[in-house]
Amino acid sequence: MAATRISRRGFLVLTQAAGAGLLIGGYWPGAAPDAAAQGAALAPSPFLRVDTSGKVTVWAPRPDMGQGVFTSLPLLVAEELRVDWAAISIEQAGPDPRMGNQLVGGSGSIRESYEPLRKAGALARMMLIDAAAKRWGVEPSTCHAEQGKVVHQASGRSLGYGALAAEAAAMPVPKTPTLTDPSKFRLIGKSTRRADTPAKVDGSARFGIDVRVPGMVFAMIARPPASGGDIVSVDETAARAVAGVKDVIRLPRTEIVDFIFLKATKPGSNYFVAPGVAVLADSTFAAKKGREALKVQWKGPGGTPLTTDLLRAQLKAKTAGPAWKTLERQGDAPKALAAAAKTVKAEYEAPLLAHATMEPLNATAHVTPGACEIWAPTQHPQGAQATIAKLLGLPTEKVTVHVTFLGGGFGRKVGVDFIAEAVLLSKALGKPVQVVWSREDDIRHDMYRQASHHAIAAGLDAAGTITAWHHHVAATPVWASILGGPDEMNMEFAQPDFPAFSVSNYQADVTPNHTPIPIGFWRSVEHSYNAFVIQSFLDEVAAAAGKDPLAIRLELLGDKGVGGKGMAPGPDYQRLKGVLRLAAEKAGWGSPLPKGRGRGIAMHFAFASYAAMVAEVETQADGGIKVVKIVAALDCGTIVNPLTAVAQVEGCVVMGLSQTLKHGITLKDGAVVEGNFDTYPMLRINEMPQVEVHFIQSTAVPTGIGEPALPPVAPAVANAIFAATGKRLRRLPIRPADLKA
Amino acid sequence: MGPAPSGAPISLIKDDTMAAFTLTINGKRQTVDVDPSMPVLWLLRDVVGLTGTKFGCGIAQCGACTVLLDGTAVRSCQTPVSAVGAKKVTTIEGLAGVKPHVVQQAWIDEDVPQCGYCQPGMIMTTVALLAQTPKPTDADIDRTLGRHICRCGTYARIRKATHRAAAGTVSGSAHPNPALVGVQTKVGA
Repeated sequence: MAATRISRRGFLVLTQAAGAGLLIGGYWPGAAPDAAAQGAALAPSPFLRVDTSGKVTVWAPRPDMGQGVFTSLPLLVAEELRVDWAAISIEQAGPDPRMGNQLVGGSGSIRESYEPLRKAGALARMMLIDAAAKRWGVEPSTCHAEQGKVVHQASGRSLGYGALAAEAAAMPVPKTPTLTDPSKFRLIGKSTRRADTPAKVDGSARFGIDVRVPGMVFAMIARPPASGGDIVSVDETAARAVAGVKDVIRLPRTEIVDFIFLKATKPGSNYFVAPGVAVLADSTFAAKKGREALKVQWKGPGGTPLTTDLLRAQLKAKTAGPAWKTLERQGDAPKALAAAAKTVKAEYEAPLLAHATMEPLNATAHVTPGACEIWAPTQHPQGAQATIAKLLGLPTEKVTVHVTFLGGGFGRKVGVDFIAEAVLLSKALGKPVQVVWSREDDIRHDMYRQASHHAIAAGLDAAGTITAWHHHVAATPVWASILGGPDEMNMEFAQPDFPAFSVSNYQADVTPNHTPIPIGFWRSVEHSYNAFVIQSFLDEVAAAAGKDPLAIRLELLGDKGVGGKGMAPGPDYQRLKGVLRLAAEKAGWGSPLPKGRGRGIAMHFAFASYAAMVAEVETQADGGIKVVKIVAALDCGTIVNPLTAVAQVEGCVVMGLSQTLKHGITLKDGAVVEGNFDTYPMLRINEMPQVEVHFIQSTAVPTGIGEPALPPVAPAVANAIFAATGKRLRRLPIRPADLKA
Repeated sequence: MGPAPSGAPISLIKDDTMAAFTLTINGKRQTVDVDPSMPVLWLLRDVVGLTGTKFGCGIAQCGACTVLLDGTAVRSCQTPVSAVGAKKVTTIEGLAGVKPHVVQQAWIDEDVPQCGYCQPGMIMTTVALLAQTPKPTDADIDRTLGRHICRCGTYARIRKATHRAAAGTVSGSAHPNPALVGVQTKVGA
């Protein structure tokens, strides 16, 4: 999810929701500690506690969906607290406004929490030192903390944190925490294995779908096949006769607040709890069997039922007409194009995509008079709590959210619709209810990555220099699909991508297209298609100019500094050059390749990080291609946990290859056709290329790593295919038939 | 506002399709009274209370539901309870003894899991593979683990960990960092 895509207004709303006066994601130093709440333990912030026994507990403030924050965020606290990493306990936090932003998405966890969590650890460390110094009658500056104890260098005296905890809790909280110099880091920057791995390899790790609450009933819901559709009639007789089925409950369409601003959605929003027929039973199997026995008549949302071809035609028509809005303009691109010595024009397409997390959507809820308890694999604990509180008309603190591990998120589990379903059923039944989505439910009722059509053109002068660049995108804006209402506030296409500030006549246009299909945040959001188009088209322009793809990029980056504008820092073109050069060097760009092989290069700036990739493909005897190797170069500033950072890049490569070569969502009669992995296939281990990941060693502030490596995958592969076969593919996914045509 | 309860009474018909089965699961004999067509996956998760085996697709495409039947890896989502008989069922929870199984330890050493949801299935298939082919080639790995899906994309480390487990070069410790003891993974209630 793109946290940096939120407008300034939206960003402020999020921070204010965290509590007036609090730093985002952190604890405000200088406040008097709440001695009563702490008891005898030291707990100057909600992130940590040191008990008098010496036990140190650190809370993982954000949910873990595989990006490793259960380990890497507590690690930041532990670094500054100077504890023995082996001796701490980590617990998952529920929604807690004192912790600031707890949403996972937008590749924001480390970069938002890097300073605040270190500060929280540092404050506690300083209080422990102050307490020891006071007890010994020495200056705090003559003491230091290490491995869970405070040491007085001169006398060699030491005291463990447990012995100091009660006294430390009574010390004033320092106003300015002293952070460790990076040259002295013991944990940050070192490869640390994840703390949740033992539980994830022995079966004890609890995902949302694993929650078991006494008296719990399982539910599966039959939902309208066509998005925006509804129930006409239901015959429950056969369903109720299935052994284990307890009840059949009809859910009407239910509005819930949006999860960004926590406000009522407006007309046009596709974000709501869909109408459905729920079968409740004593096992998931019985609920599934009962649902299969339901006889339901459905109707569509009205109007012409959407099909893939119709959607493609709508989007194409939107790029053919005048743009709804120009996002960025430099000079006069249309005029420069008309005057250009040579023009290159192309149209590109990308389809709807499903999230398909390995753990299908699910949530468990128990509604009692005046309260609600939830167990869910949520990416947005505070959003879930607030949404349900509003739904039930309860004070926020009466809604308890237990955050479980997530079996994947990728942006889907930030929505609260699937939690609201369980809440509504529990309220109706008066028992704890777990709603489980089948894989078919999950793929057919997603909040999809939007489909897009692109019309893109470039002008060249006689010397082959790009004089004009005009890119027009038509797609459904994510926010419009969630919030509804007029488009004006909701367009969230990328701030101008490269080459916006490298070409003197540049124009980026956007035109929205609205359909009943729910659209949501998908890993790397609009970058997942824009980078494919820009970096592929750049190679088309390079070919027209007779330039090497690496050379043209280096030339366009030139000696420029920081470009861009808007809320997030713009790209530093020299850092983009850095990853480009690194990837090219490690991939041996320009060196001879065996016959039938080709290399492609791509680069992209997203979530404040820089990524470049070189793909190497090989043609196959049957006319298809195989991706043999991917060399990735990343610059994400300071890396907290290299093991995890590499894993994120590898994961992005796999997801990027799946979207490039394996799948896309199609529509028929307004409904999603694909339902399971047989029709929506995923990349598997036997199709995995060799992947090399290289990082620029940097002391810059940490920037995103969950998403930045995904956008360059598709264009690097498409460019490599062109190099190997001479075929330019402009539509994703690239299917074997496209290559043989 | 709220869901409209249906008017029909809850069925009181006793279902004659239930039957009693005695199974050996992770070395323990259990008697269950279930629909014979219930997949072992749901028996484990919803009846016996072993949630380590995961539901990913229900059509044997993803492998998350893999368990061992007398040491052979099978898709529990497609194996009805009636087909188990006297075969010994081993789930992810039954692998470790006093120490983690060598495959589990290799997974820890190579820091394999991201979200971790697919990993129990991956591990069970790897255990079965190594029992049959102690020194698997990359082609053997492709053939067996290629029937699994990892959406987080941990394939490179899975391959490395499998070779490591085959070579037996795993750390002696039960924890991700040898000194990392006492880290709890308590989540929620």
